Amino acid sequence: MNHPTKPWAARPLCLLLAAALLAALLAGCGSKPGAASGAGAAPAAMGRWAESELPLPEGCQPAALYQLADGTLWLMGADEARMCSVRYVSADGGQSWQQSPLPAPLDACRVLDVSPEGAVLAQQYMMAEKGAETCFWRMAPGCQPEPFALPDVPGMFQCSAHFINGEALAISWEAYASGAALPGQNDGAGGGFAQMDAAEVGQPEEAGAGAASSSAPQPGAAPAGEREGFYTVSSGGGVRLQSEEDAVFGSGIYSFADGRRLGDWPGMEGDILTCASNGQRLFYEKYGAGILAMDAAGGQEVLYTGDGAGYLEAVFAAQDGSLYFANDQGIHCLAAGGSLVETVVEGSAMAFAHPQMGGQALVRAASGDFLLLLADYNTADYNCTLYRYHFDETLPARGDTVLTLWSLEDNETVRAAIAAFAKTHPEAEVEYTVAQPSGAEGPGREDLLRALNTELLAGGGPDVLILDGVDYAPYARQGLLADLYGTVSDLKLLDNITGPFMQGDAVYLLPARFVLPVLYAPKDRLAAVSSWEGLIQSFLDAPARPDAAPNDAGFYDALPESERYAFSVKDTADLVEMLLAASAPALLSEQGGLNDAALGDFYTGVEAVARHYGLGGYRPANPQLDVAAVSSASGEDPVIARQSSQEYSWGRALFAREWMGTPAMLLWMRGQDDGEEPPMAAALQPGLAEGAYRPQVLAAVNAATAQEALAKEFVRTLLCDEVQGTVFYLDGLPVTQSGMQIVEDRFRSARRFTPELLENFHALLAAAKTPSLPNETLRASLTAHAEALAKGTETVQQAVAGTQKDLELYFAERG
Amino acid sequence: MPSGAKRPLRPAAARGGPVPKPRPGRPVLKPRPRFKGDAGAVWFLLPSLAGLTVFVLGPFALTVYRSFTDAAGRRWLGAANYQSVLANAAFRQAAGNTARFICVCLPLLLGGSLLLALLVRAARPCSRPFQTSFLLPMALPVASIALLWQLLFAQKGLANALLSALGGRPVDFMGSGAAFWVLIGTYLWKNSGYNMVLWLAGLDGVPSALYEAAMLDGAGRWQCFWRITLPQLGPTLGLVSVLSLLNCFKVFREAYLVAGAYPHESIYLLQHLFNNWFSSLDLGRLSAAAVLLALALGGLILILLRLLNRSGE
Repeated sequence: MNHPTKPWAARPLCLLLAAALLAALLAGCGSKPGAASGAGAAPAAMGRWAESELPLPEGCQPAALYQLADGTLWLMGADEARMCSVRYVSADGGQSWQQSPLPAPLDACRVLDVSPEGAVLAQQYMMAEKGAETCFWRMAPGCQPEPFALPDVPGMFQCSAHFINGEALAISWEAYASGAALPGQNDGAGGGFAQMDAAEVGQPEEAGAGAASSSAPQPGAAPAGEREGFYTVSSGGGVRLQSEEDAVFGSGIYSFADGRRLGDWPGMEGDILTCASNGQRLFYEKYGAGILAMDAAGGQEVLYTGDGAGYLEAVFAAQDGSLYFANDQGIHCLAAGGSLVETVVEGSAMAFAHPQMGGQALVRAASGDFLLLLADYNTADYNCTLYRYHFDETLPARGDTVLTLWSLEDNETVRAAIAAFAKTHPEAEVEYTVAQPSGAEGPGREDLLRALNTELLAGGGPDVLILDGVDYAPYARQGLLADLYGTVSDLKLLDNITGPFMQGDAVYLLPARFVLPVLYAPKDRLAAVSSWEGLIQSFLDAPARPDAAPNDAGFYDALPESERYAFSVKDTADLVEMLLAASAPALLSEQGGLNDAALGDFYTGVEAVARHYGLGGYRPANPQLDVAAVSSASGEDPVIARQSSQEYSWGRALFAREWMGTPAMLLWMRGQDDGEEPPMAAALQPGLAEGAYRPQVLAAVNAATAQEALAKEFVRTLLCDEVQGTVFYLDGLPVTQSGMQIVEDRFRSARRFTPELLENFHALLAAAKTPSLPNETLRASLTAHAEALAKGTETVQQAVAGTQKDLELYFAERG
Repeated sequence: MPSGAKRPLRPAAARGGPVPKPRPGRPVLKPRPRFKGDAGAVWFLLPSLAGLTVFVLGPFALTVYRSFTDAAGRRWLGAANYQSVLANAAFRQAAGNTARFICVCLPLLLGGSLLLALLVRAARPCSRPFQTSFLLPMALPVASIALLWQLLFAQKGLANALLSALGGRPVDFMGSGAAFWVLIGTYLWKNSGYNMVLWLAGLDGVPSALYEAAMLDGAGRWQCFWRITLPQLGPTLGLVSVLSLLNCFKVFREAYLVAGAYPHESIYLLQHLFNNWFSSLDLGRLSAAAVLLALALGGLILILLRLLNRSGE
């Protein structure tokens, strides 16, 4: 036999090889990601970004933060009363501040921008008899202030200016000038302005020598105050009366020395968001175009167009060309010449992760520390805090304990709770996993839930679960959730909202927010729709809604009162969604099957409305054409007005219907009526279930977690005043009494508040008592059969039988 | 001679000893393979055995354990999960459908693919393109097949368009009992080519001398097929049957992609139930049902192999 190896040597070799294979297999099975493969325990990795708050000068309302080339920090405070900036200087990295007024007249100006060399451009507002005049000043490093004007742009009234380098500025301006086209002008005035008699408007105040000045409308100042939409403009001594239509806008690159036009600002059209200069180039984010860089010659480069980093809030451009920017996900870096965004400081537990905190300015010190000025949008004055982010090599790379959170979609309430939790538990690190980030590609919902279920059933998984968008009942039923009763029993919660989640002395899941389905209309009209029958009848009593989409002609035009339809319904699925919101719980029987009688009522209602509206012939609704809008009035919580309420506000529908997540929705609704009589009111949408509301931010703790106490602490944080008192209009209303009190207090302070509205709000809250979260399988069946009803291919009996058939196996599985 | 080297065995007669005669009525025992000489092979098998233990046998043992506990695996429930499974209407429906599917599919597939193999073999040497084309469905991604289904069998799909053009009435293929036959057709279409290749290999393994001898004895084609081909294909039949049986359970992917978690009741298979129980975290009953299925399948395969062995003897 021709054997390659000696027979006596073959067996030990085989043995050795087999042992090696076995060892490799077992080692592969036993190892954990990231675990050290050495025999001994590997030293823990060290180094972590630490957040600390830096003091701000007393009484300072920070508006901007600049770092000069020599490392000095300039903090520009806003003096709203004097409409000027106050400069504070720090030479120790923001540890201490000294007030350092700018030389006159800059001390009475609002600083527009500061270059890394210390050059300043400022705008001065001067109150004059006929109105507020403005003029501009420049101050080169080591020089005295001198007037600044753009010779090509007479009558420049206001501008937004950014240093590209120490000698050139990118400026977008607004001016009131003659009919001649101005360089860089992109919005024609069309006809120039009227030359007015000086006696009619009064003589202009003496502006700075040689400076162009303009004046803004001044309430009560005749005649501008009497003629709404008119501005008085003075430029070089001539006084003219201007209308808003006479305004011209433009942009360009201008010399800092003499205001001479150097070139165009290419692609300026559109929204320019945050800007920063590194003394060589100007970096800025343009809406829809990504991050761009421009030099003084107008040469432009697109640095980054991806959406992986989210939007920018505050930007810092380093000397080496790297760009740093902060948003609620972290502080990121786009290296010079690179195209990938790297996250430098991960932000889930940092202050900037709070959804209501917005970055105002970012600076990277020579030491590598970041200084971030954050504004709290939840406060009336947008109070600012200055934070320092320092990479501390003495801290372990990971916290003593790591608390893991999971939710299907991103959630602002959870992010706010993480920020609050980080303050009270600095030893704990919070890892928040958003399984399905908005707009991101990745596994489907079913796959994500399957992965979660696998972890939970294997005794692992995240410590805290936010089960929004998930059929939560099985998690509690199968014993995978910890009892939270001891955690929340001492909290004063809204009993009607949280009560349905209490199972005797146990609670496995608790909503931290909720929204109410409300209808809004005149009181007498609303009184007629206090029941399911009334709701359906109201559809039938009014004219049918025509098939109309937002891109159709006349879609936004008001209809005569006699032609107005009851409710906005985009298609059959939208109708099912509307009716299901207040009916879902009634469609299921307590025995765990379908409530046939309620199902019949539901389909009867659907059929009546669908036939009346002719929904079977509607074009399919285009989800891209959604006219939902965020509306925010000064001092009021923002609200989302969806198409269902917008059609009411346009004078097309008789009722508005909306998910109410803040009492400010009542202010918005009232705002649409303009004080119209008869008295208006809001009411819970009636349905087959009484007092339906939708619970949100459903928090639970994994029963198998090793950190049950910490996880429960997090749930308490979700219910603390700091989180509950903050408005997140997508998440909804707070569930704690104290949180609701904070929300109400803010409601009371709104300009349009009336006690009647608060009373209405209390009535809405008191009426809510049945959580309504439609089952996905049921929803799919109802929609399919509703569409068949609308098209007339099924009768109500067939639809009921169809749904029973569709869900037969679903219920049988649970039997 | 170095120790450990094999010594050649000499026949007893050559060693001068008496030659044992086989006792009448007792089968002659074949010499068993000697374990000692294959110790190296055992070591080589060990990693594979370890993998099998870690990834198959271990999880199955855990499944058996979890079939006696609640979903979280903390509370011992005894046989409650099994009782619940056996009493569950959805399980009975799914098990019935699965059994029906197997009973209809398996004979059709075995017979059909054997017929294909015989035809392809008869067409040699021109049959190569057929062999390749019959294998193509195996190479198609499941998602493509699901898309094809939707195009063909939707309410306004191609099949109904054809029916209407021929003057027939449209059929709700996926919403009626016709869904079962669509699923059967898909299974046959997809697996026939693969089985055909297996049959061809088996057919090629039948010694041609047997056919020549039979022809000389005056046997016809049918007799050759019945008396030689079929008996010689016994081992191949066993292999093809087991593989086809296991492939029956893979048809769930197509059914799920086209009709979702709750398809028409006629194509609601055990995997639908398992999938849905997993989604609703009902691990106890899922484990119990899986154990029952494993027992049923194991039993079926054992019976199948026993029958084939008996027919082979």
